[in-house]
Amino acid sequence: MRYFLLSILSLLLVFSGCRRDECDNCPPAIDPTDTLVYDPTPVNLNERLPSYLPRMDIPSDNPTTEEGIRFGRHLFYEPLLSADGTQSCGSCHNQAWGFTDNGNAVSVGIDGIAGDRNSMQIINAGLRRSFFWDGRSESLEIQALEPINNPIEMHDTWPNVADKLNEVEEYQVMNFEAFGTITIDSNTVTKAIAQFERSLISGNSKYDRWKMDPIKYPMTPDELAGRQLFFRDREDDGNGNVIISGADCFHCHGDITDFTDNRFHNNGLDIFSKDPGLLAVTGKEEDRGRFKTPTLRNIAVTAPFMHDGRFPNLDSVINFYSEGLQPAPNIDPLMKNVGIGGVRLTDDEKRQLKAFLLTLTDEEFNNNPDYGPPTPVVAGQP
Amino acid sequence: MGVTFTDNHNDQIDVMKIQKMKRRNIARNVILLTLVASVVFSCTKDDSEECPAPVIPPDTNAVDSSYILMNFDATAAGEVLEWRKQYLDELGRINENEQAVYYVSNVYLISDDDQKTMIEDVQFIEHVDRGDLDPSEDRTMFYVTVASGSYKAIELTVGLNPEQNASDPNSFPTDHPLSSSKGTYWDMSTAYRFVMIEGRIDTTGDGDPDEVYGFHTGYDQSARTKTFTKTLDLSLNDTARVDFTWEVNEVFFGDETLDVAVEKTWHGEMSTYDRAERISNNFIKSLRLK
Repeated sequence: MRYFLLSILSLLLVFSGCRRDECDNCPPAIDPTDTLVYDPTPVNLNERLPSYLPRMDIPSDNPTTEEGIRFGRHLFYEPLLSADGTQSCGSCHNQAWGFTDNGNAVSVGIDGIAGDRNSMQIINAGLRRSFFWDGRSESLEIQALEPINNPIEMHDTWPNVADKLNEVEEYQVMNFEAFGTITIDSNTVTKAIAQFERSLISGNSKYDRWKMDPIKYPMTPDELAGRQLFFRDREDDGNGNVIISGADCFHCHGDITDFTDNRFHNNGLDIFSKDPGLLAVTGKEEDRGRFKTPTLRNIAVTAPFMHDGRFPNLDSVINFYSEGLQPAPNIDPLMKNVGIGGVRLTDDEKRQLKAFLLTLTDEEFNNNPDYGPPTPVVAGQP
Repeated sequence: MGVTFTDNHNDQIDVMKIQKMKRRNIARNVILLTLVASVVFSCTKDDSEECPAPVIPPDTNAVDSSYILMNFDATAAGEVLEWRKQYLDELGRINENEQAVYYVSNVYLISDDDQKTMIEDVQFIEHVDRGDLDPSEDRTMFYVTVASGSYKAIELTVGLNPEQNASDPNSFPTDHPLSSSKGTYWDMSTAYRFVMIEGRIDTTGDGDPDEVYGFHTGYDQSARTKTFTKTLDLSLNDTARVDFTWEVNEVFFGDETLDVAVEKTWHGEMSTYDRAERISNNFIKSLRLK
């Protein structure tokens, strides 16, 4: 503790502009790093991904380390990040719910104000190329900046959050061990959170195991039939009479890219989408109601669904794609069956499709103790 | 009193003990001090200064080389193809294109003495890409480095050869044309989509494009190769430009007709493979030098 405090003191002196040639009475400068060693341990997250998934592009200015993940985990669950100390990232991204908001359609911030979007999953986040439903952030680091300032989320300011965190010496130690400086700021906080989020890797669902070894880990006939529907287009004779039945999920939720194409689509939820979606980012009216395709991993625990959480369960989602498509003027060309309301699945086919979707649940991920809240470093934290 | 904190998966750590041990590492601290100093004294740098935009130059390290910029243009009813810009198809109906992307691969230069030299293995051409944050952002040109000399023709394939088509998309970095990040891989067929054209068309004549269409050609048999006569006399360090172009209307109303209001889709179904065949044939026929 003594060395640590001396380190803090010396840093304050350095940054307050006290120079040796100007101040004869200054105490001898003490290197704040004298008591700590910056020697982070690299982590190769790509080694943890199933072989058939893409590799993560790790930002060169934020390589993953054990120390960074550990610090990020603490910060992810740290309520000091909110103005009144009641909410952390984990409040609206609960591991047990696939890192979504506890079954809520939209999230409520510290001031009791409800947002207008459903909390997105954080699953294999290192494979995504944009973040938020409208894709307005291009990296996890940038994404992590926003909720702190957002008045309907944590409603704080970064300088204030940094001040609060810098008062916790354990965090300063972690900050140093992860980034080589004891001074915590928005840069180190977002980098650490991003590292932790990249470490949230799901690759051990029933479907993953079947894919790796279908003999050892067989799927049921219903699950296999559902998979076939998932990866097949519907074809009809032009008069609505089905020739080949298919749910046509794969165009946007193909599995090779982790059950999302990482792209933006208007999937026909509304004729006119009140939520601008991608329009808010591009300013183009044709992007109204276009939203990022979410991954389907862990879909059994991430209800409710869609950007506004309008569908309470999987059955309602399947019914929507089967019969409920709305002819939005800019509906995605891939929604080919909008003219007949959808892919027109039978009840048996709906059941089979649901059975397949349920194979995407990764219980190991949902219960991994490394992903949950750590023992808090500040007394009184939840 | 030492500061102690715990993780679920870590043993308790006594920071004081560790700190005492770490203090002994004087040499490392000297390095760290230098680093800290460098951080402090580097603050005068203007951090707001933006880095220059990345440029993809030709390989100037190549010996005896010259360069070719290969560019691909696309038109719709004779005008530059643009994201959701309306144009009239051959039957006078309003059409809007939302996706026009394809692979160009196995590009060869043919010399005056009929020697073939591969100058590019694969590129992904994007005129408009519906799935992008900015669909109108195109990627339609690339440089190739070639040996200086005289050439009489260029050969290329629209699509992929069987070996490329059997690639694992996850074996490539994300910026590679065959990476899964391009959204071109057919999971269920373990193969790539070669040409993807999508849009919407006005089938009622009320001026509102009311029907969507989409064609994704693929499978080895959909690849098409064509040789273009082009004289290129390249001296050392010369840079030549070769412009190709193709017309959307000719893809649907070429030698073979595909009415997108009737036959609206093709996404790999063998029962209707003839649609992909017509798209493939018409596309390569339409592709020409400017």
